[in-house]
Amino acid sequence: MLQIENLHVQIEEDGTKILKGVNLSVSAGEVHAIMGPNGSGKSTLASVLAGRAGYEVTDGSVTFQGQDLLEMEPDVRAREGLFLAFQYPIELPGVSMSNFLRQAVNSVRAHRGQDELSAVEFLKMMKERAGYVNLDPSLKQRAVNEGFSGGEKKRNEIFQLAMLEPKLAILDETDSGLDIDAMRIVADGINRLRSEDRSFVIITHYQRMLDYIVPDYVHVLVDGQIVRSGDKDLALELEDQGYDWLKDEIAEGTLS
Amino acid sequence: MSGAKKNLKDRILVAHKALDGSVLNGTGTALHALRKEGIRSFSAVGFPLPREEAWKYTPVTRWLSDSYEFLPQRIDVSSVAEQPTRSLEGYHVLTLNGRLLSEYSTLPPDGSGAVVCSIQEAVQSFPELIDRHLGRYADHRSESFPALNTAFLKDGLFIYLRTATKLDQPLYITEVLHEDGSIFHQPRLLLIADKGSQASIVQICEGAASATSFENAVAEFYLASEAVIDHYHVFDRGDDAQIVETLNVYQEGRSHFSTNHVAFSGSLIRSNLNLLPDGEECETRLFGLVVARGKAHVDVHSLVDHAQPSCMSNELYKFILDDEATGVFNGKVLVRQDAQQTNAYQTNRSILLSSSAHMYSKPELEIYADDVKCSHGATTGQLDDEAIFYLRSRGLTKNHAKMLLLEAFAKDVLDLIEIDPLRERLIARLMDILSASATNNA
Repeated sequence: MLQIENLHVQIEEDGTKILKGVNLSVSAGEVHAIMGPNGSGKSTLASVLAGRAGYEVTDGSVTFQGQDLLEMEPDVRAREGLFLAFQYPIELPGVSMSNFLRQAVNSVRAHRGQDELSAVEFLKMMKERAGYVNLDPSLKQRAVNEGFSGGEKKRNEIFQLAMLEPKLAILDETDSGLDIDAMRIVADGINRLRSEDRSFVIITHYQRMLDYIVPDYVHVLVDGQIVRSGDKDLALELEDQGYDWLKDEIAEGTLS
Repeated sequence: MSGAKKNLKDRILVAHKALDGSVLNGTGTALHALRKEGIRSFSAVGFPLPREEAWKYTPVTRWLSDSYEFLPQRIDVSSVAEQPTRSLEGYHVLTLNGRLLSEYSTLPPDGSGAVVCSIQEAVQSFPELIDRHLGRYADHRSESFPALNTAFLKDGLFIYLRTATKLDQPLYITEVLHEDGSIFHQPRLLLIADKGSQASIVQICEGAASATSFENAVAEFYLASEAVIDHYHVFDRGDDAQIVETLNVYQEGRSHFSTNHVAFSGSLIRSNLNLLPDGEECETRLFGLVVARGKAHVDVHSLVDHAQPSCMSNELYKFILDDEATGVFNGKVLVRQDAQQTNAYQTNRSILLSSSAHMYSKPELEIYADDVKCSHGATTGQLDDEAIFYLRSRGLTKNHAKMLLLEAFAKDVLDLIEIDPLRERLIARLMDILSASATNNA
């Protein structure tokens, strides 16, 4: 599904190096969690995968379903089946949820050779999928994210994920800013969307979301490199001991 | 340049002398007196110069040429094809070069309380109304363009809503031009809304205008107390059209006036909007959407002059500028000392789609009363890259994403149009323009 090899990325504007040789391989149906302290490069990784401007790849490669992902425009990535749930979803005043989503869903479907959804089919699908994350149906009539609470914005991201049916979903700190109830709703929604041919990369600072979404693999990103990989127990270990012990090990050279 | 335009002014004075003794004659002494005032002040003030603050960004002489005909005699009525706006449900007035064509119009029936006729007819049928209102609101004594329009005033459109008349359908005024040579069009509109009357008036300026002609339109609206007038004005005469329009609205107490200007094409569009709510508890709304491309220049100059207490005004103007287009917004809100408890709001938002497009925005708030609520805001910027990225990350192409954002930006104004078929027609036209624009920029 996704192969990241020796990925080096810097900020275009000032040349600050953020990712310093990331390697990651995600197969179909797998859930990978990427954890790490603030500033380790987690969100940069998500941004580069989705194609956000402002980053320069100086070395390495990313292959998505056998194609060079980095060569694709952001919208082509989306139509090919990559989805980014934003850490800070954008408010779009005047753009109605249903109009926006219908156009998005139909562009993705057209790309996959599927028929456009009729208005009736679309509304039915919207109603059903909004239910996955307990999204108030009236939100659909409103402008995208405008006046949504923090929790509603995050649930709206998962709702869009459900509508677009991607092959690979990258969740960028979807758990941040959520209280425990909201997090459970979001996690339930995500679990419902897990399938054999859909992979997830879950970027998070805290372990608690992984109580609800059990990952197949956990990776720890520190200073632009994945310094340790393991199973879900690694997340618990981090929860217990924080990131400092890993940093100490790096300093001592035991990890390198 | 100024030498050449001086020549134009001289030619105008000569043309006026010749016409006033012949063609313009026989239209009543009331019009003759106004014409005299008009030509006298035009002779004194001439065309506005760029050094005048109000014309600083719109050096209008740049668009004027030297060879206009002022009262075209060759008008080919057969050229009036079926107008696309005809399909909209409502009453329809068709004017050709400013002249009412009754046989092509569907006017409100007798007994509806609404009278629609030519100003020439009104001079005969409603002399006291003409005397009281015509030339009373547009300032032909010191403003160039109203002066010039008034100097050649021979005819025009007259709309009279009798007391408590409630027009059941919108009144569309489709203004068609027939051009055989270089013509200086000077349409004139007088609307008199008596006490408690209500109507929606839609002026549609469509059908291509040539680059060698010029339009100097003047409209005067009088709203008696409790009258409610919703006015719409659509400018879409193609990329060569050159228009200076002046709208003066005089409101008595508890009257409501709104105007929604939509400009989709034109080489030059200059709007002078002067609103005078001169009674208590008036409501005044000005909305506008400007979409300008190519080398188009669109300048909106508005004045809301609050002279009386307890009135409300709200102004919202949005510009979308592409290519090398220029937009100008100069909105003045004046709250005089007696105008206590005024609520006045003004917003101008502009999006530049190209680095060669320019926007000059100048909100002016002048307040002499102490118990008022007033606000104004102006923003000019580009489409938000992060918003475009968000939409692209959902599978929409860059152009598609931009269109969706521009549509949302523009619909803020278009959604305020209360006539459904008109709103839908304008939104469809907007989408055509935006998609053509997106394709060109791709």
